[in-house]
Amino acid sequence: MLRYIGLRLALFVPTLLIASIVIFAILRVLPGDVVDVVLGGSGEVAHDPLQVERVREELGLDEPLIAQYGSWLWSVATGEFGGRSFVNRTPISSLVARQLPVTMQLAVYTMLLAAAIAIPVGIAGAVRQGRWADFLVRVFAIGGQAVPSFFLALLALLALVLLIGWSPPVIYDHVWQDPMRHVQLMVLPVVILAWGYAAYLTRMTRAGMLDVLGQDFIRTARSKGLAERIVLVRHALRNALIPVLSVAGIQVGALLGGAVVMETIFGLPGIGRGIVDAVSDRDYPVVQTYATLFVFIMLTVNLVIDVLYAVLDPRITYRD
Amino acid sequence: MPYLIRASRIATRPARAARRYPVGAAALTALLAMGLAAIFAEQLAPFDPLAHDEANALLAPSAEHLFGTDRFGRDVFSRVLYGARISLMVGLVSVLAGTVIGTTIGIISAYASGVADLVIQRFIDALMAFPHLLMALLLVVVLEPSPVSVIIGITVAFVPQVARIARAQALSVKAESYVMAAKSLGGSPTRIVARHVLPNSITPVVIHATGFMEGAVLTEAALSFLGLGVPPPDPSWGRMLKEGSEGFLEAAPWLTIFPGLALTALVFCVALIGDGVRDFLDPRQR
Repeated sequence: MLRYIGLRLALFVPTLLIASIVIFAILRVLPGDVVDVVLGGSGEVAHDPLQVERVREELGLDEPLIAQYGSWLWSVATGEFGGRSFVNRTPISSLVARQLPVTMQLAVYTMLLAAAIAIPVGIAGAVRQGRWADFLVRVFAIGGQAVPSFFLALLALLALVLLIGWSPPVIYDHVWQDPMRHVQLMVLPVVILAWGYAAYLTRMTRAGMLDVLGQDFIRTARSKGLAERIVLVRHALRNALIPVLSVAGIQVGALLGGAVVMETIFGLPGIGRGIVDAVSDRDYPVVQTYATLFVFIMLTVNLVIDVLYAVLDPRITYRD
Repeated sequence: MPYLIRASRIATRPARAARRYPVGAAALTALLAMGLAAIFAEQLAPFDPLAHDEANALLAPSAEHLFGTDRFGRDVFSRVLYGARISLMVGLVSVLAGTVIGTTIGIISAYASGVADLVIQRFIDALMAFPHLLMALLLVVVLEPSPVSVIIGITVAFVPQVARIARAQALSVKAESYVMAAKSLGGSPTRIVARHVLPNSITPVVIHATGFMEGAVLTEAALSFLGLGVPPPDPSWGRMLKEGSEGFLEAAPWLTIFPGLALTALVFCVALIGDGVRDFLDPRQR
C-alpha cells in the first residue's frame, strides 16, 4: 500500500503542474491582448502608453511565455503565490491565508454532514427496497441532484426572513473567534451544499448495498446467526462503500463549484468568491493562483479518497 | 447491441413503453413540452421579453402578468419562456459537442496506446482536476461572455470525463474476441473502430449523457447567476435569479421564484429521463 500511495504522490505534482500550465495558457495564449483586458475595453480604444507599459512590466509580458510561467511558478514555490493583486496591491499570499481556510471549512463541514446523512439513509433505502421508506430515499436523492443550490439558498433566505425574521450575519467570523456567529453563517450554505453532495452518495450507498446484500457471503453471515446490524455494517457496508468513495471523489468538483456560488450568496470571504471577484476585475495574477488552488484542493481530496480505497479494500494493491 | 432492438420497440410502441417506464415517459413529455415552448416562445409569450414598461414595474403576479413584472416592467412569464431557449440550447449543444469530442479522444487514446495514450491520459488527469464551473468560468471570461463562449466553456469542462469513460470502455471492447476476429479477417483499423469499437463503447457514454446535460444546464445558470454568463438583456434563468435576488428578494419574490422553478423543473426532467435511460440500458444498476 505504501508503494501505491507513493505512486499517487508521484502523479500528484505533474498533474498539478499540467493544470497550472493549462490555466496559464487559457489566460495568456488565447486571443486578446491581456493588457487590453486588464485595462478594460476592446482593442480599438488607445490606452495611455505609460499605463500599458506598467501593466506589461508587471506581467512580464516582454519576456518569453516560458519565462513568464517560470517566474509565476517560482513565486509560488517561494510562498509568494504569484506576487500582488493588480487591483489593490495586496500580496496574494496574505489573500490566500485569509480566504483559503473559509473555503476549506465549508468543504469539510459539507462532506462530513453529507456522509453522516447519506450512508444511513442509503442503507435504509436498500434494506427497505421497494417500500415507502425507499421511495422517500429516492425522492431525497433526486431532489438533491435536481434543485439548483443557489435557488434553494435564495428560497431559504426568503423563507427565514418572512417566517421568523432571521437572516444570517453579514460579517464573517472564524470558529475560534466567535463560534456562535460562525455556526449561524455556515449552517445554511453547508446544509444546502450537503443535500446536493449527499444525493449522489445516497444513491451509490443504496445501489452498492443492494448489490452486496444479494451475495453469498451475506447469506453465510446471516445463517451463522450474526446480528443483522453486524451483517449490515461489518460485512455489507464495508464492501458497498467502495463505489460510494469513487462518487465522492468525482463529485468534489461539483461541491467546489457550489461553494463558489454559496460564498457569493452568503458573503463568505473564501477563495470561491475571491476568484469570482478577481475574474470580474481582470485581476490575472489572483485568477492564476486561485484557479491553481482549486485544482490543488481537488487533487488532494482525491488523493485522500484513493488512499481510503486501499484501506477499505485490502484486495486493491495497484501493482501496475 | 440488443438495446437497439429494444429501443426500436419503444419507438414503434410508445404506449407500451410509457406503461413500462411511466416516470421516464412523463419526464420526456414534459421536456418536449418545454422544448416546444422554447421554440414557439414568440407565439406564446404575451409580451415582448425585452420591452421596458416603467409604469408597470414590479407588479405582483396577476391574470395579465402571470409571473408578475420586474423592475423595468418587463413581463416575467415571457422572459421565463424565452429563457428556456438559452438553457436548452446550451444544454443540448454542449452535451452533443462534448460527447462527440470526448468519445473521439477516448477511442483514439485507447487505440493509440503506448506513449501517446500516456500523454493524453496525464493531460486528461489534469483537466479532470478542474471543477466544471471553474473551467467554464475561465474560458467564458477570456472569450468574452456570450452564449457561444458559454457553450465552449461548458463543453471543454465536460470533455475529459467523456473521454475517460469512452477510453475505459474502448479498452475492454478492444480485447473482445469479435474485434480479434474482425482483425484476423483483415478489417482495416478504421473499419474496426467504426463498425465494432465505437458502437460497443457508446453505451456508458449515453448513460452519462443526461448527467452531463444536468451539469451543463446548471453550470450555465450558475455562470449567469454570477454575472459571467449570457450578457444582458437576453433573458437567462440564471441571470433573472441574480437580478431578482439583488435587493428584490423580499419585495418581489416572484422575480426569484418563477425562473428558479423553471430551472428546477428542467433539471428534474433531465434527471428523471436519465434514471429511465439507466434502467433501460443498464438494468443491473437500479
